[in-house]
Parts: sequence; C-alpha cells; structure tokens
Amino acid sequence: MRYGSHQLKIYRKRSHLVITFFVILLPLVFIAVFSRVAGVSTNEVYLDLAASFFRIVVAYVFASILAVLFGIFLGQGKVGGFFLPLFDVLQSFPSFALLPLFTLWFGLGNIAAILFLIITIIWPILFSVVSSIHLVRKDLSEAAYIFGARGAKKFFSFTLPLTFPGFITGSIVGLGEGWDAIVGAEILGISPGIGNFLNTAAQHNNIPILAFGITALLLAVFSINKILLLPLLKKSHEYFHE
Amino acid sequence: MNTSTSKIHVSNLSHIFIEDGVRTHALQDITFDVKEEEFFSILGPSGCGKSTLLRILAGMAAPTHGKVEFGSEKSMAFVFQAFALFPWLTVYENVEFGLRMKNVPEKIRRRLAEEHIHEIGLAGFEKVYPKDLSGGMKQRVGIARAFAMEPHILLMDEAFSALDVFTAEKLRQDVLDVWLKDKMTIVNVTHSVEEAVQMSDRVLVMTPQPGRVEKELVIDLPRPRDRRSKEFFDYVDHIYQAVKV
Repeated sequence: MRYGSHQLKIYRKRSHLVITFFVILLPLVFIAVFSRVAGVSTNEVYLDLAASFFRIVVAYVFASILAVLFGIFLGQGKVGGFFLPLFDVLQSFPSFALLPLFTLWFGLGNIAAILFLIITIIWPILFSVVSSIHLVRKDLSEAAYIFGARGAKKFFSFTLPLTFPGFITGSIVGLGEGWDAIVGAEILGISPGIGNFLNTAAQHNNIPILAFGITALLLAVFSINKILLLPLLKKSHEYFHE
Repeated sequence: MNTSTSKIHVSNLSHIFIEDGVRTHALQDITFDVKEEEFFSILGPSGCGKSTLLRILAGMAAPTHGKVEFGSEKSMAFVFQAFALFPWLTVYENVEFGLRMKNVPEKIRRRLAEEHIHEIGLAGFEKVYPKDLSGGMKQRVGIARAFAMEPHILLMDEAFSALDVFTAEKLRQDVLDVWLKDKMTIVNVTHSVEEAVQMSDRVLVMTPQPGRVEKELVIDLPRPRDRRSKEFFDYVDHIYQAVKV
C-alpha cells in the first residue's frame, strides 16, 4: 500500500504516543489492581477478555473482506441493484436466531461464535460500502474512466479507496454490534469469554465482581475505539473533503 | 472543409434523454469538424447540451443518432469543471494517475509528472492533498493530470468557470502557453464569450432546447490577443448577437 501508507500515519506528535500508551495501559492496570484487591484471578479476567476479543478480531477480518467485496458488487451496475433488496431482507434477519444452529453443528466454541459474529458484523459494513459507492460524485467516476482505470487497476486504485470512509463508519457500528453479540452469546453458554465471566459473577450474586467485569469490558472497548477507530474515522473524513 | 486534416468529425449527431418517461432532446443534428492542433471552443448558455456533447466526444456516453469519428491518433485527456481530483491521492499521485493506469514505467511516469507539475506552476506542492489547495491550484492539478498524458486531444469542460476572474485569467494564459508550445487539439466547452474569443481558433455557437449549432465562427486575430482591441470587441458583439437566449 505505497499510496495509502503515509496517509494513515495518525500519530504525528509525541503527545499522541504518550496518550495512546496510557489508553492501552489503563484497562490492563485496572484489571491487575482491582483483581488483586477483590481476590479474583487476574489471569482469568485477561483470558476471558482475550477470548472475546480474539473472536471479534477474527470475525471482523472475515466480515470486512466479505462486506467490501459484496458491497462493491451490490453498489454498482444493474445486477448489483437487482440483488440489493435481497440483502436488505437478509440484514433484517435476527442473527441470534442462527446461534442455536451454529452451536448444534460446531459446539459451544470459537467456530460457532465466530460464524455468529460474522453474520452480525457484516451488515453495517456492507451497507456503508454500498452507500459510499452510490454517493460517489459523477465527475470522479468519469475522471477514473477517462484516465483509463479499468478492471483490477480500477478496483485497487479507484473503487477500493472510494469505499474507505464507508468501510470505517460501518466498522465502528459493526464492531459495536459485535461486542453486543459476543457478550450475549457468551452469556448463553459459549465459553470462556467476558460474557461468561459476568454471568458467573451474577449467578453467585457477587455485585462487586460483576461491576469489575463490566468496567474492565468498558475500558477495553473504549481503548480500542480511542486508539484505532476514532483516528481512522477522523482520517477518513479529512480524506474525503476535496 | 479539408477532412484530411480533421481530427474529430461529428456528423448528424442527436441525443435524447428519457427520464421518468419525459423525452428531452438534448442535442439535435449537430455536425462539425475539429482540425488537427486546433483550439476549438463550443460556446452556449446552460442547457444547450454542450457538456453532453463533450462527454459523447470523450466516449463517456453514446449518442442516440449520428456518429463521431477520429483521425489517426485519439488519445484523450479531460479537464473537469469541478476539478474531479482524487481526494485520497497527493498532487503528484493525481498527476501521474492516468500514466499509472496505462502501465507507463515508473521512471517515465516520474519524468512526465514532474515536467508537467513544474510547467503548470505546482512545484513544491507534490505531496499536498487536494483538500489543502485553493480552487485555482486544484484546477492546476486537474490540468497537469491531463497534460501529463500528452494527449492528442484535450477536452475541457468549463474548466475556468469555478474560479475567480483573476485566477481564471492567469490559468487560461498558462493553458494557452502550453498549447502553443506542445500543440495538441483542444475542445473547450465554455459559456464565456470573452474566453472563447480570447482562446479559440474557431468557435461553435450553440443554442438551447434543443441544443443546436447556431453558428460556426473563425476567430482571425493574431496571438497573443489584445482583449481591449476593437477587433476583439467586434467578435464578442457578433457572438452575443448569435446566442439567442
């Protein structure tokens, strides 16, 4: 990505690095200190969070690739326009309805969880990508055409960068829904995971540990947003102001 | 007209849009020739179909009737009214975009891009993104992107109309300088009578609803042209008479 690399350089100042460092450190320190005080195993909380996080990341990678490819296909041309309403219906389908089926096939583990997460995360990304393509300025498409962008070159040098802002906006929504879904799925039995941790704490009527788990999750999600998604969102807005 | 030196030959071209069941006759029975290395302007008020005509020449749209034929070489570049720069690319990357699409080797690409960046007054701005440029500078990028292709035919769609008068005037002069030096066929769409008289060898005057050719006029003035001369005003007057709005 020679052409994009210097654009994504978000941390230009030393103060950014320092803040970033603290944001990463914050949830880790919180978990370490609190678990010691409350007498819970620090490792268990880390492992539960890591398990949930791992599922989100893997599902997000698959969902992104599928969403961008399908989004680009559905966003342009007559064939895409024909299939788009079908995908609109699929989007409305509650993904939790498929969770029992996935666990029946794959058990209460990562595969079921990741499949379930993919069909949750994919929709906001896909539809944001579609709308970035629908909203492209006509003269920009004409410029791509007249300056010879065709086939694979058009895809990588024009269409893909064009969908970047939509991809980021969709990712933020998609990952938000992803955390919802994974915590839900883990409460319903997929383990280990932070949802599982919270459920266990609640069953033992242990309010402080429950609060601790919720705070740890909150800090983790906050850190990911702050470090990764918000800077990308800002960049994508800048980038599309001609 | 001697067709052997003609670069673009448009014959009996008509174009009809159908939108929501309503037929709009955008262009009716247009016939003209553009000669090799000629500066040719298509002039007319809004809605006369001149931009549509330019897009048909560019191959972006197919005419309902009639045809467009080209001389031997038909490599083209286009300058847009609202610049149409790729916002995710720097000035340099925008300028070399067309060359990259054509698989021109990196070394030649760099030479051509740098040459045209310098020529049009963008030196020092290579790494800047379009959002950080003024309108005039953006259009310089649009023009450099087109010149970098070293096209046989340059199509300009109201390229100066989104700029303030001072910037537009300077940029027109810069384009003329490059054209006089490099010699290519230019088709310039405009609604400015003064611009057409100042820049063109020949002007095609169009009238709207439906878009038709009203007049074809040779501007027989020496270059550089004196915009305050009596002859200049005579041409301007003459054209204003012809454009019936």
